[in-house]
Amino acid sequence: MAACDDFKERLLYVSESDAAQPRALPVTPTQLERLAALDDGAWQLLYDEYFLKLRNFAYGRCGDLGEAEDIASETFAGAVRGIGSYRDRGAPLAAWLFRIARNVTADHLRRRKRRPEAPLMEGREAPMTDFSRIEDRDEMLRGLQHLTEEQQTLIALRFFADCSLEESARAMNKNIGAVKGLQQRALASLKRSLSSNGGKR
Amino acid sequence: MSYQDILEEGLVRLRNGESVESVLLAYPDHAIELERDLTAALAARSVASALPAVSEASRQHLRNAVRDVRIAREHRASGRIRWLSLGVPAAALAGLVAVAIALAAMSGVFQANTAEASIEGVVIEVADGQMTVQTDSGLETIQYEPALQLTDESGAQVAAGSVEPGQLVTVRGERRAGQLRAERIQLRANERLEAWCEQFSTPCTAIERVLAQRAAACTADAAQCRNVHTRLELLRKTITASPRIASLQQRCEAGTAQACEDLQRACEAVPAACESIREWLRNRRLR
Repeated sequence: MAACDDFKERLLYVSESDAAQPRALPVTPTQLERLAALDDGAWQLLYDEYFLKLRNFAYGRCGDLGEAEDIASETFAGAVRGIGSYRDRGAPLAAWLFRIARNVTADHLRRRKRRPEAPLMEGREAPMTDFSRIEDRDEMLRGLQHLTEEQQTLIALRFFADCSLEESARAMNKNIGAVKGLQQRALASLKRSLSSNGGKR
Repeated sequence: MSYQDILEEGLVRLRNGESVESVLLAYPDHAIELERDLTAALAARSVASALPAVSEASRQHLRNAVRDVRIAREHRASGRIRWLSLGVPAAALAGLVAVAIALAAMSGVFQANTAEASIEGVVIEVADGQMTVQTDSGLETIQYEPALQLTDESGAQVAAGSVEPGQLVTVRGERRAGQLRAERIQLRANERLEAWCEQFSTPCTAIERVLAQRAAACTADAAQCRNVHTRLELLRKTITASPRIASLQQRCEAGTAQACEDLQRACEAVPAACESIREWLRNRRLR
């Protein structure tokens, strides 16, 4: 994909002594060879491991399940087309997949037509101030829209796709310290956004 | 331990099955903020956990993608085989191909690869038709039309010519033969400069040097000069408050000699901003 060609290949991630252990293991040479050889079994295994996470990441960004599944499918299609130029630097393949997903998601969001605002939920009178009562998916998705693109991406990686801090840092091409700071700001922005949405009812 | 580290530890503990209450008991000094952040994180996780399983159609979509790429590779390979099977001697064939390539290049058939690109960084210099931007990976010179429409973060249009040194920007455009040509420029809020610099202290020290030169030379329009000085002060505040420098100072105080050396080097790059830290280092050596 054209957007993939613009990836910064230099890894900015700097290992820190207190970094959490990565959950995803680096791809083995055998696994990579099988993927590059378009072995159907190898690609299905990769699908089993990552498709759901990619779908959930995309959902956290676009808020539409069908579109999220399309994005995840396009991500895998892009990975199949690009596997020949993938360079193994000892990092998990997941980082590469999520970078593709991030670009595909951005393309989808740019092309997407604006949807009319969803009507406010009826029947709720009390302003939403207690976060432990937040159950409304639409409210969460509306709240996320007030975050910056980077903040939304991190929330989607960490809490929708369930990526570890290190996985998220690699996917976003940032160091651990930067991601921790972004995470703190993102959660603070999210809780402010949810508070103000609750107060508008 | 910083709050960011405590928050991350809390999130890991939640993921491992602990309750919010048990995490708050472990960090009572940060209970209020921690409860709000962890609850927001749990809310996001609960939305994700309620999502349905993926459809089988997507698995078939992957099989089709693998098959299509395999077929394309086979076609390319069979195309080469067909050429060879014509009985053309290999050397003559190679010569013909070389001539064809040379003719195509001369006639401009080969277009430079173009690709959509997007960068984020801080403007260092603006000259006619060109802008130099410090990104996290280095300096990038971008072509742009001075009359190009600018927008702020809300999407509202901003007056043309508003791009100044020290401005954090996102530039989107087309990259041709390695050079980015801007099609859209978004001016990011000043407050985001702090967050951006927290990640990349080295590029920000380079920006500080350029801004300091501009501030020293700025004797023209008062409003413009004030802007440069404001950006410079914001940047200096950001650099000296950077987690990296704070961490180095902590480790130096704890007795790590290497950290003291790294701190000295970091501050040599930012003499004005780091004056208090350099003074601290000097006093420390005198003890």
